[in-house]
Amino acid sequence: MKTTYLKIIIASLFLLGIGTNYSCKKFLEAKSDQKLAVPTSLEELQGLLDNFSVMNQTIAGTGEASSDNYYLTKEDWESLSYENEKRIYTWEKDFLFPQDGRQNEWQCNYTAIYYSNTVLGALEKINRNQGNASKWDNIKGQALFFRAQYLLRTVLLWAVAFDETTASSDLGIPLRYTEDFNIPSVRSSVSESYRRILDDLEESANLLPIKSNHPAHPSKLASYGLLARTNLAMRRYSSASKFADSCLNLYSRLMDFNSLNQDANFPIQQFNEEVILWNRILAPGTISNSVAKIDQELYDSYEDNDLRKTIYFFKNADGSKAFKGYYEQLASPFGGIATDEIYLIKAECDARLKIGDFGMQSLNTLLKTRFKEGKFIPKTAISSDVALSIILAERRKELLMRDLRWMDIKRLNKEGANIKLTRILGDQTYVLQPNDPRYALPIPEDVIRLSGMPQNKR
Amino acid sequence: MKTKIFNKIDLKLFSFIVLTLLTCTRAFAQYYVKGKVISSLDGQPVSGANIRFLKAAAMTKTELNGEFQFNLKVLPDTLVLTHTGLKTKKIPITIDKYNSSLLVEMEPSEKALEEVVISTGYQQIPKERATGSFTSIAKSLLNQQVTTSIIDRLEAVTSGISVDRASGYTGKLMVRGLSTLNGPVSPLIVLDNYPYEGDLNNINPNDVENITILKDAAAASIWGARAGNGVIVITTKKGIFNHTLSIQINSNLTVSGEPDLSYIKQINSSDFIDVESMLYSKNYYRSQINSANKPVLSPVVELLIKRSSASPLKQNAIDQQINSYRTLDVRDQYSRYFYQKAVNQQHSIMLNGGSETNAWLVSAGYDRNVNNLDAKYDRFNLRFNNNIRLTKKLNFETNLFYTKSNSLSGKPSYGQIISKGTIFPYAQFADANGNPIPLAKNYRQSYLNSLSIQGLQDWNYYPLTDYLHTLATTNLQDVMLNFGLDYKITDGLKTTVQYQYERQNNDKRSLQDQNSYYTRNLINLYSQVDATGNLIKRIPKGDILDLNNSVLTSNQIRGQVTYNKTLEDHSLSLLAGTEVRETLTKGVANRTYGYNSENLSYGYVDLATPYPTLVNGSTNFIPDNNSFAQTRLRYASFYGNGAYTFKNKYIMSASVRRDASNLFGVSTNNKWTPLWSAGLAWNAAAEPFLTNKILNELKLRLTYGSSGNVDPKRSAVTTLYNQGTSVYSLSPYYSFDQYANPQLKWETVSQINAGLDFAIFNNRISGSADFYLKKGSDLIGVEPIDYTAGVGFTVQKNIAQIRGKGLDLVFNTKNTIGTLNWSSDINFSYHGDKIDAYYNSDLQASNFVNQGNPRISGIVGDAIYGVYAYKWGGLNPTNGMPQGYVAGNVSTDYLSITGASTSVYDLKYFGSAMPVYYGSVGNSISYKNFTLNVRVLFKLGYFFRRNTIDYTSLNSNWIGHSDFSKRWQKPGDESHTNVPALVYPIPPNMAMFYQNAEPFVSKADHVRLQYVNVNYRLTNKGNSKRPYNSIDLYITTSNLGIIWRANKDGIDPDYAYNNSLPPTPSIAVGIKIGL
Repeated sequence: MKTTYLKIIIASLFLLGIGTNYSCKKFLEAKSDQKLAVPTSLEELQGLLDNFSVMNQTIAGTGEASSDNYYLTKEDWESLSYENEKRIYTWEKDFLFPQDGRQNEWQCNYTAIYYSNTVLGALEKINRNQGNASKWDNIKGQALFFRAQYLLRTVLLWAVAFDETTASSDLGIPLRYTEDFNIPSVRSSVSESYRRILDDLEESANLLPIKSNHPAHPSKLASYGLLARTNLAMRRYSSASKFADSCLNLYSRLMDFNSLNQDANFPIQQFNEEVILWNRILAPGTISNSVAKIDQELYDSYEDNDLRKTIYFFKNADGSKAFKGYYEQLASPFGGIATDEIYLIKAECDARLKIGDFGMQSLNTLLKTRFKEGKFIPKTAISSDVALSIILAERRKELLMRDLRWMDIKRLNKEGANIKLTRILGDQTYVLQPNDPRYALPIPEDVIRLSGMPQNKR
Repeated sequence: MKTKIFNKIDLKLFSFIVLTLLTCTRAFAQYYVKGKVISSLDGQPVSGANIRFLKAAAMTKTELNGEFQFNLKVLPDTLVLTHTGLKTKKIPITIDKYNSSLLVEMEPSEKALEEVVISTGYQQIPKERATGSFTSIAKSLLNQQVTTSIIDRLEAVTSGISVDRASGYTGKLMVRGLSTLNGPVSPLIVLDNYPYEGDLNNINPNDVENITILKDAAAASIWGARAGNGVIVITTKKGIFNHTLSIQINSNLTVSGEPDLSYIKQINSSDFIDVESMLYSKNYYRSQINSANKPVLSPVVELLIKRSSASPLKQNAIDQQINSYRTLDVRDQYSRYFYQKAVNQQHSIMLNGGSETNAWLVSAGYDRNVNNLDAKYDRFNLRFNNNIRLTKKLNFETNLFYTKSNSLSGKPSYGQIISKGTIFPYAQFADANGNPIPLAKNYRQSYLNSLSIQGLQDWNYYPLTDYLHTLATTNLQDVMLNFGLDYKITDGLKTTVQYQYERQNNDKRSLQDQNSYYTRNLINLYSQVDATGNLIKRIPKGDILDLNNSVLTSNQIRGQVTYNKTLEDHSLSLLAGTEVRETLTKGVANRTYGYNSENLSYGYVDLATPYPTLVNGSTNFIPDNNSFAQTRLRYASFYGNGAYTFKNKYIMSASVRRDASNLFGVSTNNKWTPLWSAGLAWNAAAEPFLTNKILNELKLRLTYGSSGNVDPKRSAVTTLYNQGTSVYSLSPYYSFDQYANPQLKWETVSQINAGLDFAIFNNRISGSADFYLKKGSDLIGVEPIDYTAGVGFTVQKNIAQIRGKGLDLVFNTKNTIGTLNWSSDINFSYHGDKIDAYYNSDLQASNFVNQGNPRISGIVGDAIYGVYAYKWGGLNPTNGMPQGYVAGNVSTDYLSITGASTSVYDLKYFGSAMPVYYGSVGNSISYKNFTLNVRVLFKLGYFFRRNTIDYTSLNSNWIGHSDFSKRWQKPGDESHTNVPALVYPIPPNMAMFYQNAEPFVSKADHVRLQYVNVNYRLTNKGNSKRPYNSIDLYITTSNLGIIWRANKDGIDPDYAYNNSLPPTPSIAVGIKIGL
């Protein structure tokens, strides 16, 4: 009897010992949290890029908030909750971005870039074979596209306008390629920054399918569209025209504004047929439509038969106008790519390059859908200069609150447009002269402090 | 072996008086002697006491029921009673006395008092053989307080334990201060033999026999990687061999008063209305008025809007209405409609008994609490303990714990009714007739009133009654089953196999019925008027039911070999073992829309389609509340420990342990963390040259060891977290959970402890002193990072090394002995810690000051959690603006003051945010049947930041503070106030500066009267006609409040947060019956 017990105990101890020695490794390899994963499979990498709250919805809009499509009353400006937003409005030299734990545009852009870099790094460790080639390529293309998109946003805001003659010495933005966060950030030149964006986009255009299954995912169309926008920002009009063509040749649908309900709070549908790539901007309170009043002159420039006059705007109680033409169907600006912008790039480039009817046909194709049915009189231009001024005016009217105006002011002033911005708050007047150093916004001060990078000229 | 120890514990904890009832009967020249032995404290019979008759040279023993009988031939004789742990007693039995009853009082032996046995969870060691620093708390001390949770009783009575309430509302229990910066700080809680995985509230306090705190490295290192923060071992009551049936009943009722809401420093309504009027005149609200989102506006602002277009007559009426709000106070509303007295009941019964081969215990407990807000909690505990001696060598012990508890949500507490950051101070919940008044919660009331859409639900929010429609219940069931098999292989060598299974099932149910605001609002929000004017609802009418279930299953198995051998002067005790544990937690949450509890039907919603919402037309998805979770933590450990004692005087001990776990992705090298300790002790009082009458005990101890700190959240590889299914791509999407950081190292904590235990003057004065040095290396902290890297604003890095030193002093004195017994105990702890090295590169001052939680100091030599403040240049005498310093000059450039131009070195350092000196003083006075216990708690030598008015959040969130009335208003005010003037617009970062400036730091030192307890005890004094052995009647009053504080603002520093209320005084009345 006793020996039986003894045997049982010794046997169980022995088994326990075996258990802990031999199957220990296996025992300890179980996942501690079933929801955890390491980025090793294509599904997980796609899952990272599918994180829409990082890749497709970002804190942005500082450019639009710095631009001239809107104004604030002094009272509304005073009641803004955040100091940095007040400062954005008056083009202060510093503290334009929150540094109190709230997210800011710089951080959001580089977070998305980190996601892309992680995907690109992990892809190198996954064998590309016949079975997974199309998926592998697609993921790589998406990651490259997103990286380029966020680098472009960054360079447009924090660097001076691209100028072929000085780009190699102008301060650009840090270019990060790996997921190792211990590597210090260094500012590249403007020309290196744009080179990287163009390279990433061109490579992505070769990898991506023409159309994606959802506008949240980048596609060849999106790459072409963004290449067109990038080249336009660089004032390389023939390249911009070429990529706009590539895009429109594959997809050129426009929405007919006659089919929209102009009385609706938000008449334009999310993911409508013009949207090539989805991006929602979580904008500063400055351009919220409860305070931002549309520049009266701009509003008056819409013709009466222009449906945008009622679809884009509503009247405040005091008679001023506010914006409601968001492609997001809620009060957040759209920051993605849509065909209307591509038509306008095409038109502008043709005008500048003095091709054909100076872009009038592209412009009229777009405008026809914006006017009351049968009431549209096609625009004509006798010279490229006339064409250009019509197209640029239409560009502003079509693309306001799309975070493109700041880029336009910067590049147009480089072309000699001499756009001078003015803000009036009570008896205070603020002026931003063309090509002022403040067109390159201050990099958040805490980033400068922690990285030691040089600040933009103030 | 084990049972003997339990016997010892039992005898140690009860002090015995033996009552002997003797009846001698003469029959045929024989004297029949009969008697009974019982304990005085609980009237329990004492079994197995040896009875020797000197003349007759005969022996007998008391029976299970404490009785004995014997036939004597000759009288007189002398009876000698002996029992382990009791003083031997001689009783002469004379012939004239044989027929009468004899009352014999026996005292417990001094040795029994000292013979404290310590439980580490792996073994039980006599305290005299221990080298480590242990604190043992007996149930008699714990039971001076009445609480639902046993852990709540520790702070008041334990040396070296403090509860930090500065860095969190609920408080964190700490043993000897901090050992980590960012990891878990709570000590490991062990119930009997195993780490307790369930909810600590599951433990029935009446089941607890004692609690041992393992404080130094030698004591705790047997627990390895989880012992870095100290270990608390809870030992439950056990059945006793050779014991008659005994029954213990304990029943009590606690009533706590209504909280005093005037403690909350709320801005008064009149001031608030003045601010609103000022802001209105400055058009502050205009953007809100214009907003398509229809954000909430207060009634005063709504009236001011109305007034702007009203006739002069109406304007007058409106002004009157606004003025009528000035005297209202929402705190009165809370007190009147929500707060009430709290009533807690606790009842328990315990039965135990034992034969030669079987010891058993059954207990049941029932608690029912109704708190200040009518939230209910009830708990039922059942426990069964059985210990069987299968053979002389084989012992089998089983334990079953069963807990079932239910909680039910109550009324909203102050600050829980929110429409912006809080509600306006003149809010009213009911009209004069007690009818509910609607309160704007998400949208302007005037907007809701203007809606005329057919078919919408009532869209008003009624705080008075809404809680009736949002019921949250939690139903918890916990089963814990363990068994242990002990086999004595040879003398001294024993093997043990122990296994424990626990399953805790937690069901949460939250029903927001169709009349709740939440449900009505959601249904309305997702309604849409179509082209024909019909209202289309996307969310079906009915209740919204959220069910949340989580199941924790844990399995633990342990195999252990112990060897104990004493050969003359040498005594050896060895232990080696291995254990494997797994804790699996599974969770499911789901939401049902359109639920109908009458017929259990439910509705459908489309979660993947965005719908336009009614208020502003923006599209949104219907909230999804479904989720699944599963975590599985596995540990494997090897451990060993040994002690060698020479001549009962010199003791050496050592222990070693290795732990491994499946913490995700940690490379195998790091999986196994070796931890060890060593100790020495010297029982000096046993030395002949120190043997004298004064010194009863003197023991010196010295230990050193290292333990670790494992945070399961840290990983060496990049890990992703599945966020569910993207509503856009309809495929799973991920976010980053952890970023790979190869530079990260484990934290280690090493500790030296030098201790002394003493007792002098017949044990009239006894106590201990422990001095320790603690060093934490490679501590992981949060470091700001250049967020261009893309991993957020901060990363975890090994940023600091800390050093702590401390002293735990315990004094127990018996001041008077006799009719009046007065004893005192004093726990005094000093714990000072400092930053030893700090590798954080970002020293901008704003990183070190903030509202709320204290931050880790950045300066070597300062306390780990230091209180810093911006230097104060006073208020500007001309405009009342707060002034700070930039580069040594008085400045109002708040952006610079709070920006990069001020470093932590420019701040004023006050001192630690955690108490440096703390402890308690208890006095116990007993006279006849009465015992009075009074305990005072103190915390000294630290600082806290007071809340004050923040104009920024006052304007935007309605969060005010009574300091508003002390603000600077005219030149000259600066001489008696530091509260800045009200200005609009508010200069940037002004609030961030002055709130964190010098004037708003106060000393936190305070002394608190924790409890007063009166006990009246009745024992049957040998009168067997009384149907009880003992009865205790007791009254305990707790939370009696602060008796001294250093700050002059009436703030209880333990409850200094916005809206937090100190616990209200309570009185508990109870009875304990022993049968």
